Amino acid sequence: MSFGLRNLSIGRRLMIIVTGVNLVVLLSIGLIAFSSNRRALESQSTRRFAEKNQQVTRGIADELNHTMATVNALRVTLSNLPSYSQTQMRTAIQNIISQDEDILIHRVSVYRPAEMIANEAIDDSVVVFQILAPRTGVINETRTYSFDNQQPDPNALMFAPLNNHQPIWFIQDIAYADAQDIGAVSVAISYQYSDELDGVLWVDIPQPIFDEMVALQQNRLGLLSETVNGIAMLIDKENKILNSNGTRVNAIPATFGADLLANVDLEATIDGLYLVDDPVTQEQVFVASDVISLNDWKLVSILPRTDIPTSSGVLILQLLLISVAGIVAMIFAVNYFSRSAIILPLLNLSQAAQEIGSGDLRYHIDYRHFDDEIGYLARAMEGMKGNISHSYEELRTWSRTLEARVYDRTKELNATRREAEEIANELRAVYDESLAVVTEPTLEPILEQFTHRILILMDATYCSVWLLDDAGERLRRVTHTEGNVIDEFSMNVTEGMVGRSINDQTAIVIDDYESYPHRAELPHAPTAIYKRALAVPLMFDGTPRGAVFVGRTEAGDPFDEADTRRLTLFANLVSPAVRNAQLYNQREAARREAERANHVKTRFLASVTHELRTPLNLVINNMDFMRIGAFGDVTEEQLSRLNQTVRSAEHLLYLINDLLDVSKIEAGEMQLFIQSTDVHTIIEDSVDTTYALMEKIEGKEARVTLITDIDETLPKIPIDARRIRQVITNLLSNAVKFTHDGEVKLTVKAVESGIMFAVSDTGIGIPDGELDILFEAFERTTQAKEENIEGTGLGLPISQFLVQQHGGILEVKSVAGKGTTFMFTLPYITPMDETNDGQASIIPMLKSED
Amino acid sequence: MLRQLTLIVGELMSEEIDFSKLNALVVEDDAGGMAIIGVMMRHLGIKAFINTTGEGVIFMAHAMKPPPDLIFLDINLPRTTGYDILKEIRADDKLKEVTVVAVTAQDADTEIPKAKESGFDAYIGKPISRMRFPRQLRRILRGEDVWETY
Repeated sequence: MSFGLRNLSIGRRLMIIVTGVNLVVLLSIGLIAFSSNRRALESQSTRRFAEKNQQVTRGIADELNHTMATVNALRVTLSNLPSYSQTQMRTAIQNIISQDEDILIHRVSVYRPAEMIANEAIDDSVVVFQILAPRTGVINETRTYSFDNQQPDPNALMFAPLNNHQPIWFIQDIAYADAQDIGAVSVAISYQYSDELDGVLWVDIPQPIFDEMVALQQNRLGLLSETVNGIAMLIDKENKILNSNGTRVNAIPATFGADLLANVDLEATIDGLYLVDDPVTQEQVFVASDVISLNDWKLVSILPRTDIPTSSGVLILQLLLISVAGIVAMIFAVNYFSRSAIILPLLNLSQAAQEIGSGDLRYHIDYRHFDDEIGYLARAMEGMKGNISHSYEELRTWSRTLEARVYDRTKELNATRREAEEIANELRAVYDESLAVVTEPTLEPILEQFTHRILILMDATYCSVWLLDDAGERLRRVTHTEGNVIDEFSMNVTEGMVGRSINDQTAIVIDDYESYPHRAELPHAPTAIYKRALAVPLMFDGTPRGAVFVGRTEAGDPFDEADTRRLTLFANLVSPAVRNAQLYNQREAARREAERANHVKTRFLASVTHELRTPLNLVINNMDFMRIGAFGDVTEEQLSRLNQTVRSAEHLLYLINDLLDVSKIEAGEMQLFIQSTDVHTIIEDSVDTTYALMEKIEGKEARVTLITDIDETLPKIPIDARRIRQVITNLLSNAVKFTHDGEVKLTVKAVESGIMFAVSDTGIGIPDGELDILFEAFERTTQAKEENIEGTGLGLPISQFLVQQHGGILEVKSVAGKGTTFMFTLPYITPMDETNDGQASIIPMLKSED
Repeated sequence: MLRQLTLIVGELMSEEIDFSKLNALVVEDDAGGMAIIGVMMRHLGIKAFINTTGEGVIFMAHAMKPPPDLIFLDINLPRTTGYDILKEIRADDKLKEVTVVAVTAQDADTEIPKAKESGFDAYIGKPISRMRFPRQLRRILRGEDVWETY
């Protein structure tokens, strides 16, 4: 029962508990009521049971009494008959019977004593009159029986009245010749036949009548108990069962009944009934027994106790309604009570607690007058309220004090804050203005912005900026607001306010500039005379690099500390930019100077080489033609010397060309003339030149073979023909020079990415360690130097550069002593492609100057 | 020696151009250079006239019978330049279609574009390569681009 209970309010919990108790109580009451009702019901039922029995008994008694009356009437009549002939008897009987409509007699038997028989020669003693329609009294049959001149058996039951003159009742079977065998209840009585003799009169009542009545009783029992266990019996005064449940029993001794009745315990009587234990079944049975006083017959009804209805639907419903009504009433009662006495007060008080807890002390606390726990609680809370209220009061007093203090402090802080805000605003203004200056990229705009921004910032009329020269001796005015940006005026660093400020590394404020003793005399006097003056030094890296001068007219206020601060800040923010711009300018000037120098050098070289080439032209061609015998026969010795001479001159020529090339490359002035070229021509040229070289070296032709492996068809590629020829020639001549035996092979093939050129030789090779110096200017391998192989040391670096410019890479593989291979691939497409319709395009290597 | 001659002659023989039918006018002030050009021409069988001053070139060209097929111009001349002479040639009705080749020892990088722009048909840098000259001539006469140096 505790499940979930914790979550319910008190009221509801109370309700549930009370309801539960209610139910228990009511159930108990119900059960008690029920069981007592049970008993009441039982007794009610049994009472009905007994009543019924009595009723039926009376019914039977009535029938019997009624019959007895008729029998008495018959006796009297018969007693007074003058003669006892059949006819007379018949008439008498008929008369009697027809007088009673209700009579149920269906046979009258008369016994005539024997004397009479002897007298009247009657040979039958018994005359039986059968009445077919009892209610009409019509006798429709007469039978006679004779006893053969003998006296009847005095012990026979029907003759018993001869002895005691008492009516005797008994049951007999009646057999008719044509009728069914039915039982009858008979009564025998004596009549006065004569003064000395008595006869006997027997009257038969059809048993079925009694059957019906007994059966009816049994029915009633069934209705009462709603079972079939009830038994109704008609028993005679000897306790023989005459009829059971409407079935006649042929005088079987009612041992059952006798036992039963013998066991009646008078103590256990309930309402005139007998409650006995059935000897057979050992159950308790109710026995109702009523005597028919006429003949001491009894109607006995038996019903097992368990069959007695002890409950009733109506009763249960009643019980239920009562219970429910009871519960509901209880609920309301409890609800009402708990509400008013417990729930409401609690709610109220908890509300009060909440309100008070949250600071609202106005809540009125009821229930303080209660003299139970609620009242106690209410009073406690009231007390608490008082305490809290008191505390609040104290608090209020305190807070007022504090507020006053806070107010004072806030005023102080506001003042401070305003100050800080002013400073911040000032800083911001300075910063904003400085941004305008430092975002200019070059010096002149910086300086111009510098002065103009200062005028705005300082609310001044004049501003000049002075920079120290590098020597630190003269101050140059680089800009001012009255004249050209750069007017080149300079003065000694010691002069003027600015000079002093630089010297002292501090700001100088003058309120009356006209009377300032250290005033500098300037060529361009500003148009407005300024009275207020302020000079601050420009510091860079801790050293003064210049100064700023600001002036206001007489109308303006003197410069104050704030002004000085602002200008100093501004100047310091800006001076790095100025310095940087200065340096940048210097650097730019230097750079341009260097470029110019370079260019001059190249031009010089170009013209010099022209002068050098011209005589060489003469020397080489003359010697060459002479060598081939164009001017006459030549001896072996002459040929050899001529070869040497030509080679020397050529070497000189190459040197000159290479030097010029190197100079151009370094100055970034090497130009390529790209044109779509069929490389076959330049290959031929290079090969020819190489052959010519081979001729001129003693014994070269004999020991070294020049082989070519050129693809027949090669696509045109965008190259500078002259330069590529130069490269190929360089590689071939190197190969030839450095190969003493074997072959030099030129391979040119079209590959996927371009045209591949390879020059391989079986020469002296290059040791691993010297591979990298190959492409360094003026560097030659040790062996080259040792063997005095001629070369400029510039060929490979230039060749590498040229190949790279075309988008290729000059690679070398070599095994010392075995040979070397140089190769490169010129791509079909270079970034320098797409010239104007195949015209040569000029690609400057770097910026060329003009 | 024989081999050299064979080389030259072999080349000549293998080509269609019959140098012996050609006339050339050479304007060259440098004695040495002049001499070399002269020798070259002679060896190739080309009839060459040499102008050593740079003046009267047009006159000389008009005087040549038949008129020149080729004119070789040095750039650096005493009182004029190759470019000026070229201008005159191109202005002349009779000579304006003649193939004019610049022959100079100037720096090719600056000179070649200038020559192209001025209207020279070809350019051969000094010193002239004996081995290559015939081929260069052939290509020039075929109308191919020859802008070469040694």
